[in-house]
Amino acid sequence: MNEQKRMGRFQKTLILLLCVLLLVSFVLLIVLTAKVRAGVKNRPVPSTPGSAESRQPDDSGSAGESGSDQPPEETSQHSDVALGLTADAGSDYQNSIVFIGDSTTAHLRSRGVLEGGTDTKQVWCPSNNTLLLTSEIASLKIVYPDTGEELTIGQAAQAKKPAFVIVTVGINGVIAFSKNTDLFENCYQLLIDTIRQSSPDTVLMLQSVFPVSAGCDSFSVNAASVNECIDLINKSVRKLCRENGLHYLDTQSVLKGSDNMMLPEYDNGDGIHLTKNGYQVILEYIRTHVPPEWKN
Amino acid sequence: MKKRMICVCLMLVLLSLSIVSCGPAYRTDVPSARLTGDVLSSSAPLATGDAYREVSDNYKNMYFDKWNDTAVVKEYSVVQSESATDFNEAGAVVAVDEAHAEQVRQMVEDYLSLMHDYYADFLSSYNAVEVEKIESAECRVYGRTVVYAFLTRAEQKAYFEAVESTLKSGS
Repeated sequence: MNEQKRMGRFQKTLILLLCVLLLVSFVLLIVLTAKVRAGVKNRPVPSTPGSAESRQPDDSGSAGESGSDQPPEETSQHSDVALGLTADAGSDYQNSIVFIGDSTTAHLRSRGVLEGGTDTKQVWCPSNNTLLLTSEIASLKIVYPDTGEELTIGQAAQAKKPAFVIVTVGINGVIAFSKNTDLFENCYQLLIDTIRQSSPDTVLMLQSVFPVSAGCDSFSVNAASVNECIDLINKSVRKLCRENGLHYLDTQSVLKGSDNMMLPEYDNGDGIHLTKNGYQVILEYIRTHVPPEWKN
Repeated sequence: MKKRMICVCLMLVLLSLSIVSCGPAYRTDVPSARLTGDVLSSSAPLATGDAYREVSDNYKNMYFDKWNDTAVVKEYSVVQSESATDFNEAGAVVAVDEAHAEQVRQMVEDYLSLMHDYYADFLSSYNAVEVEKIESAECRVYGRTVVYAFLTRAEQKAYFEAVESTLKSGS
């Protein structure tokens, strides 16, 4: 009898131990699974800007961004912020403009198309002749050509008080910006605020980002995709103009063909920067799309 | 006697399983600034004269708006190299608890992805040497602390090892 009781107790103990064992194994399985998920993870391979295509356009209705069939003048006239076609304001107007931007602006100097040629005082770029729009744009230093010293854009604007400023930024980081237009607009707004606070009377114009050519291979995506990204952020540039009461220069409209690519004759070879002739076309556009503030 | 032996063996098995299932525990009292401070400097030192500095409030507001959610993130530190020529950066984000660590990890991954899109093409044109740091960027989770780095592969390995050593219980 006692033997049977001992056997019964032993069996119960054994069953209890087995249940505990199963429970611990189950917990262990959960913990190990969680550790595998939370373990080392490589950053996901960045996707192509297909997501850019899914963003809804918020433009005011101008058709001018992507390989429009309309002549650029008609597109500009239908926009509420894009400067419309005017008479050529000539060199006096052109010489009163300061150009701020990245390497596509720096090449205005290297191509010698402005007053002063390659020693022009009209181009404000960082010393490495490029510019990436970031949240730190207000502290970014450019080479102030009047003195050769490095100043922030705000300091330079305060010193010079230029009558007209044309800003062209966005090609660097364009893929990121096309996926994060809020980020682009927020960073650009910092730049706008810096200039306006430093020189309130300056007439500020934002220029469209230039298209790239079919042969451009400087990006991780193909040229067609890059131009789609450019079109997207140019919408943001227009939006910033509307929100800030600024003028928009739709220069990209005269630089590309119906395939939405930079015209081959303007490509200096790298797919991004323009030939001397290309920059002269840009300047002609600027002289013939003059803001009302210009009174000759 | 045989039954007692079986019981003892089963108990030993259970005890072993319990110990194994615990895994490494990570400290929760190490501030993020330490991980981006002396831990980083010792494993990924910069050239003489350069230093790591905490990113500006402007930067944090622009890129880390989700990280400022105090319901998810207890505190964080992000430092970048002062030098204009190198891209070194590291960050440590401490979640409010381990349950939020996965959410924090995803936030950090999103930032890494953004920075890749932002800089990969730009750096390949203007500072190709630094592209490796963008391409090899990773983040790792240590309990409730998520750490990432833009460093060379060798420096990143050293940095993560140093972080783990710092955060392991008892070290």
